[in-house]
Order: sequence, then C-alpha cells, then structure tokens
Amino acid sequence: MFGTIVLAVDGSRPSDNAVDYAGRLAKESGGRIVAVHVKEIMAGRAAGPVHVDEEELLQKIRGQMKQLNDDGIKAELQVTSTMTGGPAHVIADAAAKESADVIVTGTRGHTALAGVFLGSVAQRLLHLAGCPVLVVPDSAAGAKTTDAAQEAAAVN
Amino acid sequence: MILIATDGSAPARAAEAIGLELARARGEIAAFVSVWAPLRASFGVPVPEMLDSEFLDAERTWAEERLAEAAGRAAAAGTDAETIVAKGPAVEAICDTATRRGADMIVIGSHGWGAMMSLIFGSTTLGVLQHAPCPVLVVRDQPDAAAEADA
Repeated sequence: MFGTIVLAVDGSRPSDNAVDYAGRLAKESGGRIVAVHVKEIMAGRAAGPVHVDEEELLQKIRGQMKQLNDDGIKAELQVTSTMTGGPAHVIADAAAKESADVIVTGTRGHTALAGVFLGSVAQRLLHLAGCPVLVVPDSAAGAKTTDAAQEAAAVN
Repeated sequence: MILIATDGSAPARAAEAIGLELARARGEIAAFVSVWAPLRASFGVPVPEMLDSEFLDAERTWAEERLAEAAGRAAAAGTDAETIVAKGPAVEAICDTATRRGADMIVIGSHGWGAMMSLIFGSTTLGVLQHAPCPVLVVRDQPDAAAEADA
C-alpha cells in the first residue's frame, strides 16, 4: 500500500530508527524507498556550527542504503543542500515530486534540543507534506538491535 | 495491532481508511479508540452529581456513537475492527491504550474536532507524537474527503 516511501535521513540516531522502519514498510508492501538527505550548509543556526562531519554522515547513510539494497529493497538516495526553506521543505518537495504515499521520519535529528521531543523538521513536515507522515520514535522497533552498535560508534 | 484514533472528523476518517488498509495488508487487528472526558464546570471542577446522569454520560455516549459509526464504515469496507472507549485526557488515553494493547502503530488525523480547528495540527496529535510508545502515522484529510464530510 506504500508504493513509494520518502525517507528523511540525516545520519542521526533517531533517523536510524526511521531507516529500519521504512525498510520494514517497503518489504511488506513491495515498495521503493527514496531517501532524502539535506546537507545543512547553513552552519551555525542557533547552536553554532552543526555538522563538521558531513562526509562521515553521508558515508553512514550510503551504508544504510546499501544495507537496504542487500535486503532486496529498492532504495535510492537523493542528497541535496538548501540555503533557503530548510530541510522540511526539501523533503516535502521530494515527496510531491515522487508522488510519495508516505513520508517516514524520526522524531528529531541532530539538532534536537534537550527536552524537545518533536524536532522542528518533523513538525514542519507535518504542515508541509501532502501525504501521510509516519513519525518513528527513538524507542521504536529496531532501536534495540542497533543500540549496541550505536553506542560503540558513539564511543569511537 | 493498528490503533486508529477517531473522533469522526474529516482527518480522523482519512486516518480510519488508511489504518484499516494497513491492518489488512499486514494481517493485523485494527482497533478504533475514541476518547471521552467527563464534563467539567468552571475552574475544572467536575460537574456535580446533582446533574442528570444522562447529561454526565453525554460525552461518553458521543464517543461510543463515533466508534459505532467507524465500525460501521469498516464493516462496509469488509474489515472487522475492535472498538475501545477510553476516558480522557486524550493524549494519555490514546498512548496508554497503545501501550496496554501493545499496538504496533497509532494512526491519527492531523487534527480533530477540537476548539482550535483553525490550527492545522491539533494539540492531541502533537501530544500523541511526543508520548507514543510506537510509530505514529499522521493523516491529513484530503480535500475531497473534507468536501464529503461537509456535504
């Protein structure tokens, strides 16, 4: 029923859960995933420079796409950057262009503030998207299996 | 289980349709949850029991009616759905039900009949997104669905 799934990815841990869940949905419905990663080149919004490790993030995201492909899921990655409008606009536009049946996103990404459960990108997406939006919480199915690997990655 | 929050509003009806389709596709049970809250008088004091109990029950009855309608629509579409009446506040009632029943997903409309209908996103939906124990699918009403509901 979800023929085309647009997946918002940013390489953050909440985003990992969204990747896992989108993979599950695609497998169930034989759909394809269009992952959208928006490079945030406007470093230093409120909290100073955001991602100096953009290349590392991209590498991680490419690895996730490969994992999906290895699992027999059609998944492609679109990497874009934006100076205006912000990531939510880019993702909503991609969803419209791909005639997405659903947008899958984590509750928040890298720039989450402590105590804020729903990130600004997820919240804007709800307003901008022309299709249903699936918000995957940090603790959703799939989180448990990746926890150990994440912790290891975080330590390094 | 796919838990579908409904209050009969246009976005909720769009959520019902997608939730049922998802349950069918996954071979999971679909359940509708509708929330009611006891009437409150000024300063949030519960309405005194001197009032007619029928009056007190009005909110609950309203929720039950919305559920019956949703179940009717589901049956017409060929799917059996469980119905759950939960006592509010809405965010807690929906998330507690999801936890208690081990829901795999909550499907909810972008906004309900709340007083702030002019806001695109209802406070209940945002609250559920914050506290849900599982993924939440937020469904907006499609223009044609809204037109239907208005007709």
